[in-house]
Amino acid sequence: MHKKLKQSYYILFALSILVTNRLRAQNEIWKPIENKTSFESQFQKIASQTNTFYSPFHQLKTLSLLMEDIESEGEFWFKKDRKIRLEYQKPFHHLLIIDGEMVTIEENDKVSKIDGNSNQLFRKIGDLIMSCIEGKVLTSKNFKPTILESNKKYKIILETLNKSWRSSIKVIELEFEKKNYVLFSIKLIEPSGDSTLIQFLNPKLNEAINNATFKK
Amino acid sequence: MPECIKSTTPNFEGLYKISFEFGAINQSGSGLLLIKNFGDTTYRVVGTGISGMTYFDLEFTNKNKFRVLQIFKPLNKKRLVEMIKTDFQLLFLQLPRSQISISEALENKKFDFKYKNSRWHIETSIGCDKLLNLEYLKNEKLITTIIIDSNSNQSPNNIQIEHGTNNFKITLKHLKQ
Repeated sequence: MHKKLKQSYYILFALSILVTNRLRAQNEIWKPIENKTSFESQFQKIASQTNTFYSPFHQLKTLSLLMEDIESEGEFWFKKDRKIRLEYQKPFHHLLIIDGEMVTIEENDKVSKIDGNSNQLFRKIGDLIMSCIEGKVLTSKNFKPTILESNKKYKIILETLNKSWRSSIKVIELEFEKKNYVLFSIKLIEPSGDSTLIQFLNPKLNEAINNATFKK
Repeated sequence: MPECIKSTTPNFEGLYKISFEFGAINQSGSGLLLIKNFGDTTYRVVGTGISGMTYFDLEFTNKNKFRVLQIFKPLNKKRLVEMIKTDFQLLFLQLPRSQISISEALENKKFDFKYKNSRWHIETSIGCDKLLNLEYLKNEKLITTIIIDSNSNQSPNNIQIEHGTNNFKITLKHLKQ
């Protein structure tokens, strides 16, 4: 096949997968959960048994009024207790490590260490992701949860109650696979309507992660 | 506005990596910046953290009007917002009607705009195909310097915005698709 034609074919193929996946996501029919108590107890059980979580991710920031999307990619690691490594590879390299209260950022070969207690933003993001994996979001005083289900997934919609949260994030939507309660995506919706969707592409639970992953 | 300056107006298409240091309020960070031009001289400027949180969403309209549509709370300081406004108005060449004097050197043209106690210096290439340096002065004191590194008719590769006195710096690097 001619090289350019071959390239076009691959691009079309990739686009068709993307479009199909998007349509599938849009066609999902959500309804209020039938057995909330059973979901909550199973959710807490799985979360309490989750010691590590790893996944590559795809992030899509949608600017509603500008009709523009910004795409990012990277990898995410979590380990109990309070250890996170969030590494962006695209559109540029950016590394964030949270180890307890200590936040480390690496960018342009420059490493900075910040006390997470003194920086509200890092605390918020770190606390949110950890609460999701550890299953604490359902009992947090910062959110009012609504639980929905489709054929294949559960969705927790968290309305932010805390004033400092509400100024930057209005609603958080979390989707979990029904078969194993594994976190599938996090969507942060801002008061302006802009949103950030983080999709975990290949999550792996309870596989060994070396503590050195959370050091720099 | 002189034709030479009009013809150098950058298109700002695509995505920029933004790094900023606002010493006065002890905030620094990096992320992504999107500049959208709406055909005339109206611009929307949206800065976000790499994790997607919006730092600021600003609108600059064609009559030198400016609106803050959204701003992250720790950055919402009147003095800082005023500095960002002045800097981007300079970058978008949104200047008031003012007296102009023009000088030419071997490799560049310099335009000096004066309005009340404010002055703006705009330097272009001699062929009017590149915008090079921009300066804003108040009471003859240098407030803002913008250095633009670009190839003609393309989005600038790098833009550096600096304030002499306030430990204030914004660096924009164009991210190639």
